[in-house]
Amino acid sequence: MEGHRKWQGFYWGLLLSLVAFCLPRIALAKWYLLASVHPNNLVVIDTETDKITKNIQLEGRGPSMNIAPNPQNPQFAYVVNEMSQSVAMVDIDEGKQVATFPLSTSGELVRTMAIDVNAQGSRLFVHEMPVKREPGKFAAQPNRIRVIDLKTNKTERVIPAPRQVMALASSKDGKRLYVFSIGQDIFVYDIEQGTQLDSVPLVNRNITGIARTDGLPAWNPYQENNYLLSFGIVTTDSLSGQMTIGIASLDLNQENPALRTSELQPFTAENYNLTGLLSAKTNQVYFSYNNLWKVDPKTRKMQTAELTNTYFVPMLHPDGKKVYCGANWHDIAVFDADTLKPITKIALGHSQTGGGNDLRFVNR
Amino acid sequence: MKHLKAANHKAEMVEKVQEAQEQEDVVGMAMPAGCTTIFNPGWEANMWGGVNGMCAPMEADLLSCANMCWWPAQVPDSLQSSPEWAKACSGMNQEDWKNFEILFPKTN
Repeated sequence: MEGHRKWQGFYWGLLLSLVAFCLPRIALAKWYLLASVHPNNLVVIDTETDKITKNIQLEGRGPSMNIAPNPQNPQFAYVVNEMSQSVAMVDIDEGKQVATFPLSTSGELVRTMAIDVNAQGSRLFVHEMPVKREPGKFAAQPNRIRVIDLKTNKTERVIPAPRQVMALASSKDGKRLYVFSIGQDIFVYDIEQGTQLDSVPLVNRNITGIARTDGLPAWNPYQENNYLLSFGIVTTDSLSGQMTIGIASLDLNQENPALRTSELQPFTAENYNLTGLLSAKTNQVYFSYNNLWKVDPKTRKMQTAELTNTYFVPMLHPDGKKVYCGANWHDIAVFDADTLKPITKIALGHSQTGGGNDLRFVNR
Repeated sequence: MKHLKAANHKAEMVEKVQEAQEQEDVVGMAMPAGCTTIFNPGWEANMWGGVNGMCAPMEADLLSCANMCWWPAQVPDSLQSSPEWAKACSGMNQEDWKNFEILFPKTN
């Protein structure tokens, strides 16, 4: 009996210790906003206080550009760097760069404008634009996507890719890579086979009355938005030539998602906006450029808020309550997502670099 | 075309290639290495020829245009040709943009 009580006590003690160990981690887990900032820095912002908690200087000449968080290992983020010729791996907790994936070699100048980490945190995708250096000239080479195994940090394979790619996004199951290229349909790749599987019509939707549809998810916080990828689009009427701004979305939880679009407002010089995002929680659409818009895609009812300067992107907080407008200025303007009332501005110290995905959320 | 005359060395090279029928497929240089694939307006004028909807102020777009080489005619390409042109600036938009280095096109 005495021995049984001892074991009971031991097990309770072990259970309580485990709970005590886990509780602080659970209590501290919250959303942070990562921002690429000149000259070559990654800024970490606590979105509960809207204050900067870390300003991480990266190695080399910079500037820091696209950010890809690691959904499974959010301690790490990947940042395009070194004049777009490398990808830096940054330990957010330690506040330093811990590895570099150089892209250029002595014979090839290689740059990227699109990177992504899959949902499983096991692969880093880098779209590469190689240019061969020859005497007196550059020779453009076929583009490619480098797939890096994040367990070994080594290249797993290299896949032929289209040109002028500005965004990549992985399906939630990790099997597909969606590739977004300027003025093209959306390419769908099978990662295991390394081949193009399909395409999702975008510019060539073949809809009577629509001449073309243009748009790119250059800012692309889809993983933080429950894998709902969305972006602003402009459709052109084939008869009148009139343009309309709208929102397109792809649900990357689905195996074969269809592109959903909604035309929202006339696209004119007086009614101009560009970068859009659809909330997975509230189904409201936000646009930001010289004004902040919130549009209900069902009723087309629009709320607007003035911006003190151009902000390229509305980054909706994953909890749906705040909108962070930024990407190109030396601060980030924070608004209430429901009323669009200004809350605060987060001073960054230097201007952001204006590249795609230079703002991303991580949960730590 | 027969009324056009080559006015500089590059134009003479184009004529020679055409005469020899040695043209290769033209492939746009991948941005940002070559900076020649983007032709949309948006710096001095919007796509409707006016100034509505432009970046406000102009400095809101300055560094992003250079870093990504979006408008190489208007803003120096800081990734390839002019990496130091913004070095004298603090990075705070509007405050000391006059410290940007002024660059003039090279002539052959």
